[in-house]
Amino acid sequence: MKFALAVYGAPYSSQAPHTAYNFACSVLQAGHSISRIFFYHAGVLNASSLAVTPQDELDITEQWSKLSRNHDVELAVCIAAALKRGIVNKEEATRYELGQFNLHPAFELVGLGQWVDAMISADRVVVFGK
Amino acid sequence: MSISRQILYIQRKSPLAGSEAFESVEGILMAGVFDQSVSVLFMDEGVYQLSEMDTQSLGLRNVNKLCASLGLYEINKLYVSKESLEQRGLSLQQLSLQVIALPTNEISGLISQHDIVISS
Repeated sequence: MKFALAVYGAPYSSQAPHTAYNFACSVLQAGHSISRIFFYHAGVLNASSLAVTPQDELDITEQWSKLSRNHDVELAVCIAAALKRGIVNKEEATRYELGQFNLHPAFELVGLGQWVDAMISADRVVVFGK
Repeated sequence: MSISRQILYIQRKSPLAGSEAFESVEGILMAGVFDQSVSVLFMDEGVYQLSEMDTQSLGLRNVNKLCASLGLYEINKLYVSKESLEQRGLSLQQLSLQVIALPTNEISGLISQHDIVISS
């Protein structure tokens, strides 16, 4: 079965990222596929490459990155929600004349339409809210 | 766009609790752009998204005005939880859009009519 997942919660403010990650791993382990994981609302903060996780805690951004690499899962971040929360890639940093960018390379900034597209072409849609 | 799904959005967040309510309505409009069959149910604190209020002084964008544009995207199947309205002392007449009030025992039926349910 083809799954589309959305993550609405931010690391450290919400359990949603970890629950979503564990769910994603189980889905893949059970032989299903995940077409796209969409990060929306405060969930865009999962894509920051500037968070330093304490050694005894799970680095969720790195975990997403590994999951994406190993299982060819697309990590899509809503561009509008990301920009206003300070998650920026190189192109947007240039466009808005910002001094820095911080989007983790495993993630991609996309429009909201990409989520609707994933949603309607999946067999199952699961949203992890706050 | 060949695939058309029945999508139900359940709006439960207060329009005064950060930008999540506003962003959710943007998501609903996008489903309208994709020509999906979209219904929206407002319940719990989400019923205030249908209430006219000045949010500018709080530094928030106006969710209510954005909701007013749902019709432009042919999103006309709008519902509100009757209990949520009553609990807050609101009536249908006080809401800014024409919506159908549903008692709690009919909400499960509404949910089961849809392929996808997105709650936020």
